Amino acid sequence: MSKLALRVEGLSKSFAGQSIVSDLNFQIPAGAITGLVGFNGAGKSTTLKCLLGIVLPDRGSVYFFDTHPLAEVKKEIGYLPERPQLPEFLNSHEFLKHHWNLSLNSENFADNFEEAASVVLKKVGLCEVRFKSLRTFSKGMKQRIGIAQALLRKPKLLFLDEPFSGLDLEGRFFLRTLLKELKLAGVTIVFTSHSVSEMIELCDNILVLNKGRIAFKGALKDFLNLSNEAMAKALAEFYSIEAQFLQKLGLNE
Amino acid sequence: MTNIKLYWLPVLSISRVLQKELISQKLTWGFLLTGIVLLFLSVFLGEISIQEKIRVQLHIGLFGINFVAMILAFTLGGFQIHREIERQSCALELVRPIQRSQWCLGQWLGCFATLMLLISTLLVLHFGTIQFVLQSQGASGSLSLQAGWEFRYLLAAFVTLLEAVLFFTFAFLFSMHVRPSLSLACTFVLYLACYWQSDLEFYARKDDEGFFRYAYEVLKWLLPPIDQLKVRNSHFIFNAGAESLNWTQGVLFLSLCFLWILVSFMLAELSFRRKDLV
Repeated sequence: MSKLALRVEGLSKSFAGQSIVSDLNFQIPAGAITGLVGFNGAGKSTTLKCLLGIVLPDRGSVYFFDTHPLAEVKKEIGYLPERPQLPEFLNSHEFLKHHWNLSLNSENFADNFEEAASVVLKKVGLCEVRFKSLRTFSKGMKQRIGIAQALLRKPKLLFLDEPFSGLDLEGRFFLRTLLKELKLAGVTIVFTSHSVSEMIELCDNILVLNKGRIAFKGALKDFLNLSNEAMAKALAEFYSIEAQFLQKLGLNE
Repeated sequence: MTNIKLYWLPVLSISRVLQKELISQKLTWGFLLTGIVLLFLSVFLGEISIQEKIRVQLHIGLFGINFVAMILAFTLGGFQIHREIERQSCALELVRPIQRSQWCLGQWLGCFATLMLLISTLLVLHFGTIQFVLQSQGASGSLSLQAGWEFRYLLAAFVTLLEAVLFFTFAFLFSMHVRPSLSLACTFVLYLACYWQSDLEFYARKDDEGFFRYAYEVLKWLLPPIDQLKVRNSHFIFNAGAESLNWTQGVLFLSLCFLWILVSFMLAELSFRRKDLV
C-alpha cells in the first residue's frame, strides 16, 4: 500500500488576476483523516477542486498514491461537494445507478450494481427509502445520499467539502461515526470544515490555510499542543457533555 | 466493442438524466403549452378566414412551432452549462472517471433529445390538425392541398428541427465563453444575420468602393446558409411540387448545416476542456 495518498507540489490558482491559492506544498498520508481548515475565502474549496481537476491549476503538480496523476486514479476517488444540488427528480436508486454508470470501466464492468447500492444505502441508513424521490428528502438525508454516491465504488480516497455544514446533531453524529468506520477500513479522508469539534475528534492531520497559503501543516496534536493540560481537560469535558446530550436523545448508546 | 460501449454508457446516462430533468421542469411544459396555444390560434384564424383556411393554418402553425423551437434552442443552449456549473452537479459527475468530452456530449445529447421531442410533438399535433381540417372539409372544401403535400410538410418539419439544433449548438458554444444572457444575445444576432443575408447582398451590390461587397462575401461563407432553402413556409407546402426543389442546393445546405453543428460542438467541447467549473 502507498504511504502517501496525495502529494501536492507548488499548486497555485488565481481568478481574474487575484490569487486564490498560492504555492501550496503538502502531503497527505494514506489511511489518515486530514482536515483542511481556514476562514471563509481561505482557499479550501478551491484547493479541493484543483486536486480533483474541477478547477485547473495555473501551476503545480498533484500526484495520487505516490506517483499517479488524477486521470489514472479517478476510479479510486469519492467526492462530495459543498451543498450539492442533487437531481431531485430521481430517486436514490436511480441517482446511484447514474453514478454507477459514470464509473464504469473495463475492470468493474461486470460488478453488481444492486449489491453495491444495497451496501452503501445500508451504510448511510437509507435502505428503506431507496425508491423515494430525492425531492422528499431532508437536508440530512440528502447529505447521506451524497455520501452514498461517494462511497459507491469503494473509494480509497474520499474528499468531502464541508460535510458537516447544515447538519443537525444526529446528522453530525452519524457522519462522525461513518468517517471513523471508513478510516478503520483504510480509506484516506480529506475534508474541509469550519467545525472545530469535528476536526478535533476526527483528524489525524491538519492543514490550515490562510489567504491561500499554508499557515500550518502537520499532526493535529502538534497544532493543538495537547501537552497543555488545560486544553486537554477542556476537550475531555466538551466530549463528555456532548456524549451525555446524545445519549439523552437516544443517539449515542 | 467494449471500449465503445464504455465510452457511450456514461454519455447516454448523462443525456438520459438531463432529458428526464428537462422534461420534469415547468419551463419546458410552458414552452409546449405556448406552442399548443399558437397551434390552436392557427386553427382558429384559419377557420375565420374566408378562402385561405389551410394556408393560414399552415403558415401560422409553422411560424408558431418555429418560434417556440428557436426560443427553446436559445434558452437551452445558453443556460444549460451555466446551470450545471452553478449548482455543482457537474463537479459531482466529472470527478467520476469520465472525460470532459463525454460529459459535454452527454449534455448536448440530452438537450438535443428534449428539443427533438418537444418540436416533434408540436409538428405531429400541427400535422394532425391540418389532416383533421382537410378531412372535415371533405370534397366540398373550398381549398385543398396539392398531392404530395405530406412529403413537403415533412421536409419543412426537418428543416425546422435542423435549424433549432443548429442554433442550439451555437448558443451552447457561446455559453462556454460568455454569460448566459450574452450567449443568448450573440445567438440572436447570428440568427438575424443569417436571415438578413439576402438584404445584405442587395446593399453590397450597390457599394461602389467594394469594401461592403468584399465584407459580404466573407460573411456569406462565415454564416450558415439557412436562408437558402426556404421550404419552411406555407407557399412551398401549399403550392409547389417536390420537383420545384433544387436537390443539389438542398444537399449542400444539409452538409453545411451538419458541418456547422459539428464544428460548433467541437469548439464548445475544446473550450469546456479548459474551463474552470466555478
